[in-house]
Amino acid sequence: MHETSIAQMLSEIALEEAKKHSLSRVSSLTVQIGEMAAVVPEALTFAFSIISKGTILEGARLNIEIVPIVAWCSQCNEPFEVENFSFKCPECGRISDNCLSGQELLLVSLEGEKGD
Amino acid sequence: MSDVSVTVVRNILEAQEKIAKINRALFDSKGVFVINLMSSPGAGKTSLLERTIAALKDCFRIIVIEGDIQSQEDALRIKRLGVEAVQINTGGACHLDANMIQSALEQVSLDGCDLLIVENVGNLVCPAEFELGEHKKVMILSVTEGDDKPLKYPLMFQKSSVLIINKIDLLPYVTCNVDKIKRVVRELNPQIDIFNVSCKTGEGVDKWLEWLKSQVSSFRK
Repeated sequence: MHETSIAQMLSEIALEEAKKHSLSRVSSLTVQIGEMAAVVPEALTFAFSIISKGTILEGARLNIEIVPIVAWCSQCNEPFEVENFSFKCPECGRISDNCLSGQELLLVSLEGEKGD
Repeated sequence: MSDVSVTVVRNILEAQEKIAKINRALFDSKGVFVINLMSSPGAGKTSLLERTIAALKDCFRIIVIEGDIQSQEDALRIKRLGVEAVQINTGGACHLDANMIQSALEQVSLDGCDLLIVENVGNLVCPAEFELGEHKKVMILSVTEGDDKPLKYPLMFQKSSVLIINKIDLLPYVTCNVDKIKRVVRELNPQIDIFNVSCKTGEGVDKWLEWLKSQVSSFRK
């Protein structure tokens, strides 16, 4: 519901990194979104396409990787994928409070052209 | 010109989270216990605050930050109880963020304050995603909203330390299975404390106050 502000922060970080690495143009960005981050990929892509206008990010593709929610079962000593937000271990039924992934909101990499 | 790939790995919310950490450090240094109070619109956040303030204002110095899209209504309700309140109008934003809290803190002095309650914008989704620098997230679900809400909007239930089930005086009139709420919520979040409350009649409020008092006392300097 606030993908616009996330797109804004994403653009700022991307521009900063592009400058740091002397990119003259960014063609794509890879972003990881955890299933628990409640960010809608379509809305983020749309907001980013508007916010990036007039910058070296304009027209860049957003590669969005969705990170599943994974929790650790301390009884089985195994990770398990959380489905429908149920943190109950499918093997032993114990409820886990140790969430290993699924909350990410990361800019992972940039692809583009190096300036002169 | 050459095509390159640059590895970044940066948290997109880092700017906000940095401010949240600054807020948290300030709260810790002043010995102020801070809760982020969240719920849907109309679940009873301000009513719970009124009950809480009435019971605790003589024991603790309390400050309230009120977040709403528009109006001063909530801050006025709180000020009437003789407690300092700052209203944030987000002007459309669906949640409070750490930056807004930092600005609001410029309007109050935390010296001698024991408890700061941030009443977030009424919304069962977005407020849970943004750290403000609080110590605990507390949420309210009212029985009129239905027992399916934890399954439909799991994030806030997952992140909160306390769930207050409000309006239990209305249980005879609505189809809401409180046991189902508790069962589902504990699968999302086994450590959550759950209190059944009616802010209207006062039933169950004492259990919540007990929890809050013990938290504040352990933070007090």
